[in-house]
Amino acid sequence: MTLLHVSGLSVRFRTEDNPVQALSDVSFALEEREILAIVGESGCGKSVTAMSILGLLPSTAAISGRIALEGRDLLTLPRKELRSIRGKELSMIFQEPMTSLNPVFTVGRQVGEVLRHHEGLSRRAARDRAIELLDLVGIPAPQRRVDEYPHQLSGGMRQRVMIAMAVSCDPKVLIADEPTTALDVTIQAGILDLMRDLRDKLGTAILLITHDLGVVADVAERVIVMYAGRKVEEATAEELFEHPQHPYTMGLLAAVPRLREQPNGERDRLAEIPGMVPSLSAPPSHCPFAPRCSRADELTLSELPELRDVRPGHAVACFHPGDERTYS
Amino acid sequence: MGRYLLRRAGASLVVLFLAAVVVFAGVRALPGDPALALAGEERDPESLAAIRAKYGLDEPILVQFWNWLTLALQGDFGESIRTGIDVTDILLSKLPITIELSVLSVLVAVVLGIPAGVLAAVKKDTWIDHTSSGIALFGLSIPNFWLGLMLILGLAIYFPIFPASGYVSPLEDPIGNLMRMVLPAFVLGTAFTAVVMRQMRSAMVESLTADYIRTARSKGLGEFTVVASHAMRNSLITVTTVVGLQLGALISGAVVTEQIFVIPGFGKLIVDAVFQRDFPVIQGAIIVTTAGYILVNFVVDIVYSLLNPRIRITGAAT
Amino acid sequence: MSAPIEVVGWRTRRRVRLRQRFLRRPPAVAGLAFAITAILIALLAPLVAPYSPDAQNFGAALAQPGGPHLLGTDELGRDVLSRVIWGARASIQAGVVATLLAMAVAVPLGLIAGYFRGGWDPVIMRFTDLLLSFPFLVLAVGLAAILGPSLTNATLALGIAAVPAFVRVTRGEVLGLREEDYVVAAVADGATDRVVITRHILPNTVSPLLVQATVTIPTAIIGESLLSFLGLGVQPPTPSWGVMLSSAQSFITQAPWLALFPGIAIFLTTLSFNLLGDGLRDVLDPKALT
Repeated sequence: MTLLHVSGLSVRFRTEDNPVQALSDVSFALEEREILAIVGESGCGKSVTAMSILGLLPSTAAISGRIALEGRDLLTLPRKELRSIRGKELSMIFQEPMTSLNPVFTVGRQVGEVLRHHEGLSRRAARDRAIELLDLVGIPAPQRRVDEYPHQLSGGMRQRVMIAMAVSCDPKVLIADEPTTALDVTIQAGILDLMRDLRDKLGTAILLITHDLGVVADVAERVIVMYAGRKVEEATAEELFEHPQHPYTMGLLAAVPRLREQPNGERDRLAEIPGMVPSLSAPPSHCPFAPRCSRADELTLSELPELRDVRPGHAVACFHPGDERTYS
Repeated sequence: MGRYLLRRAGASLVVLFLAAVVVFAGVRALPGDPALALAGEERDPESLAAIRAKYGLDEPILVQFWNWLTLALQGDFGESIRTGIDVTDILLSKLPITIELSVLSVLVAVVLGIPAGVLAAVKKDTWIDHTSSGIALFGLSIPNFWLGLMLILGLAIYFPIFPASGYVSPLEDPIGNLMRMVLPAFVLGTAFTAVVMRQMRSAMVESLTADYIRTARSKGLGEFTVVASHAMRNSLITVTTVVGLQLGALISGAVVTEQIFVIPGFGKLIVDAVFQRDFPVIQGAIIVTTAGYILVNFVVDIVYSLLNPRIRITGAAT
Repeated sequence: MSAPIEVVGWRTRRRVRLRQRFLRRPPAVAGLAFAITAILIALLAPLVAPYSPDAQNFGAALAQPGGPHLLGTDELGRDVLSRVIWGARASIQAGVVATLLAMAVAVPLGLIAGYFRGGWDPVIMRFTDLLLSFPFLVLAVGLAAILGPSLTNATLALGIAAVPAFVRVTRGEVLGLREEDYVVAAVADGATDRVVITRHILPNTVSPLLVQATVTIPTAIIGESLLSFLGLGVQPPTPSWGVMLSSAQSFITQAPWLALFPGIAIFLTTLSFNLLGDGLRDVLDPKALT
């Protein structure tokens, strides 16, 4: 069953110099108990997507489209109702565990705050529950940690606190915006395992936003690739890694480091995608990837490709899709 | 935290000692014989000799400084050249008046400045923000002694609501005391209010864009909780320090405010003493003012470290 | 190699963009315009003032505003407008000179403390703390007591009082710049301290110092009028806004305009510098520039 349904989402920011079209006509669905990943370079609009779902974009943003959580359109919901959903049915963890916790409050108070706010727990009960939650997310000695301040915890521990806070009211959807990017590689796996565990235990669907295909391969079941504020490809994780269709997706995959030797004995060189991400102040009316694409022709430089299914459940917005073997 | 405060206290004492050196050296730097300066009008040889003996002016300068410092530490600043009254007694009689005035004006600044700053930050770039920021800029630009004159003209002369000047002890006449303090406290508090408002505004604007505010909102907390609890607590930490630094300006302001409203406090004492070249009084008043300022800043440091768990727990200096 | 040309291009573009940002802020532009006007009036006082500031006319003493004396006359029959115009000289001179004085002392100190750190940093910072521990008026009073009251001594006191803030701004900025990659790279490339300081550090401290200067000038202008008001600055009969207000006190009921106009002059001048400073801060704020 579809939990979260985003359709035709567009976001435009007014700035002092030029307006920025951060998102253009993005649609996707998040199913129950699913881990869906959104992948792309920085500035492709993945974080904006997350923030618009929670209604946390600044007032300079003009949003259009529809974001439905179990049929309720979050964009038109009164502020008060949206707040009763945030943190309870829909919660989020952020990229920067170092700064996402309030430095002047104890960890226990910040976790307990959600419970007191949404479930009306007493101070005492919220604290007890906070200790349980800290234990659940794998924080050792939660009895002691509950009274500590964020600066006394490591980055990985802080991210676990963020997760404890996010799952405290047993949400339906957890949005994780680059949850492991700021962490040491050795700690990343633990956090990802924890998120998968929580999905299994609590049944929370997870929308994972990342630039890291390694993270995607690790936990995601379905993947959306975004480029310049648009969705360019969507498929199951397996399908995407096996049969990428969009040249941009292929570029991303080729940029993942692998230690493998060529037949001639040299190591694989990391491939980079040539060119730069187009400016979002002046979005082109043609395929936004065309200037960086080896397959670009007159068509790609004059028109915008529509998303279409190349196989069941595998959609791509490209005039010349297909992997290197089928194309040419 | 103990170590942090100890370090701060040590630094404060060093500064106070240096200030004492400067004040002592200041009077010794006067052109001519310090005995002449200390003697004021009585310049006959006998009184000059008496003064030299009394202040040990024939001894080496370091010994003189030591003697002066030990006396000062015991609260003995000598006698006023003008009146012969013990300087410490004079200072003690004037100090409560200035403290009352300062406390009232800080109260004005906090009560008006903090809500205005928070409101302006929350309503950033709306007419509310523009209006309160505009008023604050006016408050910052208006010379307070002129504001005092204009208020006397308006609210004491044309519309005689408040007394124009003078001072009554709150012990004798609490209401009369307050009525006489309203205008001075407002005048002294104006620039301070403006500073508090502007600092609070910018601290809040910064806090409100912080990641932890985004987290608080993502938890579904109401905007009031987000602002009043999460953002304000952090902003107050920043503003506390700035407020401490502004207290020097407050003392300067008190001097001129007391002059205009004819309040017999510390500030008026200093100015009068300068014109009468009453050096023991000037020395004593400057030392006490400086010590008070350092003390208040130390208290601000304590408050700051209490508000900031980073310092309270680990004693980090940042 | 085209790199240097590109750098110049980038600088020019930045300047153009900064100018545009500045011009989009009417209060800041108004502040700049009025500040320039005030400086011009001060410089051209002999040409602008309708009367001599010292010309007494007992027949027309305490004349109301309007008529031949636009802003009225004082107790000696001197033209208030002319005295306000001449008074701008003392105020602006004190404001600008005190600020330059403070910068001349503070910028090298801040640079040494922030760039070389080492043994000098704590010494300089203690010295700054010491200066800060004297409220500026106490400092000015002390100086006046020792050296005697005059505009020069008032300016000196105002300049000394402004030193700590400039030291802190410079030091803080230099500390930050030292860690910048391009400075680290220049040092790693073997650039001498002199080259690093003059080429990489100093040019980047200009913006914050400019903002600090626009804060210091109005503070010093108010400070000068305050000291003159207390009798510790400009001595009568030299025209100064503070002196005018001081003597106006005695005539506040009969001739309120005597207290009104010099005050408005101080207020508008400081307001214009404050508006300018706020605008510059917004425009030059590196956070707003990305």
